[in-house]
Amino acid sequence: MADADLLALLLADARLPVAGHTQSGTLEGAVMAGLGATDVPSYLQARLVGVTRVEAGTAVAARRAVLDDEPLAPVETAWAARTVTPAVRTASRTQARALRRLCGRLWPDVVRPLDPLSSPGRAVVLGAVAAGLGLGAEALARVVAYDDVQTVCAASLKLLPLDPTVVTGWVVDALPGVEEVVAATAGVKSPSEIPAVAAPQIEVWAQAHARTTRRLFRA
Amino acid sequence: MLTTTERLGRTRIRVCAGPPGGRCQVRTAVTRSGATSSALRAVVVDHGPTRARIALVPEGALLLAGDAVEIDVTVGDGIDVDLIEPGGTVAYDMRGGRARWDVRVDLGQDAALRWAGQPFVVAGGADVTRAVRVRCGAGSRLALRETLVLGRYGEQPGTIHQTSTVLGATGRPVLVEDLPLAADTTALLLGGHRVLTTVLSLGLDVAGTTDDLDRYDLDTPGAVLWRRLGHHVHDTELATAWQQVSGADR
Repeated sequence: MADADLLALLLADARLPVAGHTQSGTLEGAVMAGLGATDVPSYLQARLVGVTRVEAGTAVAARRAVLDDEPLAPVETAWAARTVTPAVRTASRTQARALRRLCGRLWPDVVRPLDPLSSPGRAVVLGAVAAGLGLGAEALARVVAYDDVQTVCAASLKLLPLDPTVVTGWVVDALPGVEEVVAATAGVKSPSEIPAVAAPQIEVWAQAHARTTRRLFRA
Repeated sequence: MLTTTERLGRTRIRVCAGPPGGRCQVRTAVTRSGATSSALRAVVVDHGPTRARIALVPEGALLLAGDAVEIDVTVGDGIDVDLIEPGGTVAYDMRGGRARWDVRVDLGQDAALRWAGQPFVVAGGADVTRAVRVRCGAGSRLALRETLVLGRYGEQPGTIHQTSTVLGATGRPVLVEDLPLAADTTALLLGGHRVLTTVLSLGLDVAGTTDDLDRYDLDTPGAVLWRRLGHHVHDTELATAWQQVSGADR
C-alpha cells in the first residue's frame, strides 16, 4: 500500500471521480435563503461547529470498527440518528455509492467490511476505506473537515461573484477550525461517542433546497 | 449528578395497569434535597382504565442558579398518558451559577405519551444544561413538543446546552441531538433566530400536513420531526403537525 499521507491527499482531492462537484455543502440552499458573499466565512464556521463534527466523528468510528473487526451497521445507525434532514442523508448516501464503487475497483479488500450495508453514508465508507488504507484517525478527520470547507468554498465561486484568491484566504482562515474538529473527533472509539451537534438553520436550508428544481448543485 | 451546591427537585411519575375493570394506577412522588428546592408537582387531572392526564405544576420559583430539576416518567405497557404544562418555564439570570433540567421517559410496550411542552425561555445570564432521554418500547407512540426561546424579548440570550437522545425498542438510536447554544454558537446554529419549536412523533405513520415544509422524516420508519425557526413563539407553532400527531387515534 502507498504511503498513508499520499492516500489522504488522494481522498481529499477534488479531482477524485466521485462527483464532488455536485455538492455545495448546502451553500446553495443558504444562498437561496439570502446568505451573501460576506457571510460565507461564518457559514463555514457554522458547519465546522455542527454537521462536520458528526461527519468526522462518524468516519473515525467507522475506521475504529473496521480495525476492531466490529460491525459497521451501528456506526451507520448512529450517523443517521444524528442527521435529521432526509435530503442530507440521501445526498451523503449517493456520494458514498460513487466512492465505494471507485475504491472497490482500486482496492477490493478495503471495501469488503462494507458488504453487509446496502447504502451507507459517505462518512462510513470513508472511514472504512481509511482503515484499509492505513490512514490514522487524525488524518481521516482532517480529510473530512478539510473536504467540507473546500466543498463550500468551491461552490461559493459558482454561486456568488467572488475572487478565488479571497475564497482561498477563507479556506486558510478556516484551517484552525478544521484542527478543532480533528481534536474533537479523532478520539471517538464507539458509535455512541460520535458528536451529535445539530445546526437547525443549515437543516432548514438543506431541506428547502432539496424541494427546488432550480439549482446547480445536488445538495 | 448531585453536587453540594445543587437544589434537587425530582418528580417521578409511574402509570401502569390497575386492577381488572378498574382505573390505571398513577403513582407520583416528589423528592427534594432541601426545604428551598423547587420542583414540579404532578397533578392527576383524570384517569381511566388505560389513560391518564397529568399536569406538571411548578412549586416555587423555577429555574434559578443551583436548581436541578429531574422529571422521570414511566408509562406501563398499553397505557396512554398526556402530560400537560400549565405554563412555560423561564431560566433566569444565574449570575455565574448554573442549573440543569433532566427528563427521562420510559415507554412500555404499546404505551403512548403525549407531552405538549410549553416554551422554555433562556433569559440573559442563564446557564442551563437540559437533557431529554426517551426509551420507546415495541409498538409505543411518542408525541413530544418543545419550544426553546433564546432570551426574553429584546434580550441577549443566556446559554443552554440541550441534548436529546431517543432510543427505539432494541436500543437503536432514533434521534441523537446536541445543541450547544452559547454566546459564540447560537447565531451560527440557529441562523440568528430566537425561537426553535420541535414536534417529534414516533410510532405513527403520519400523512402530509400543512406543516410539511418543516417536516424531517427520520431514518427510522414512523419517526418524524417537524422543526421551525423563528423570531416569535407564535410564528413557530407547528399547530397542524402537533394536532395530527397528538390527536390521531391509535
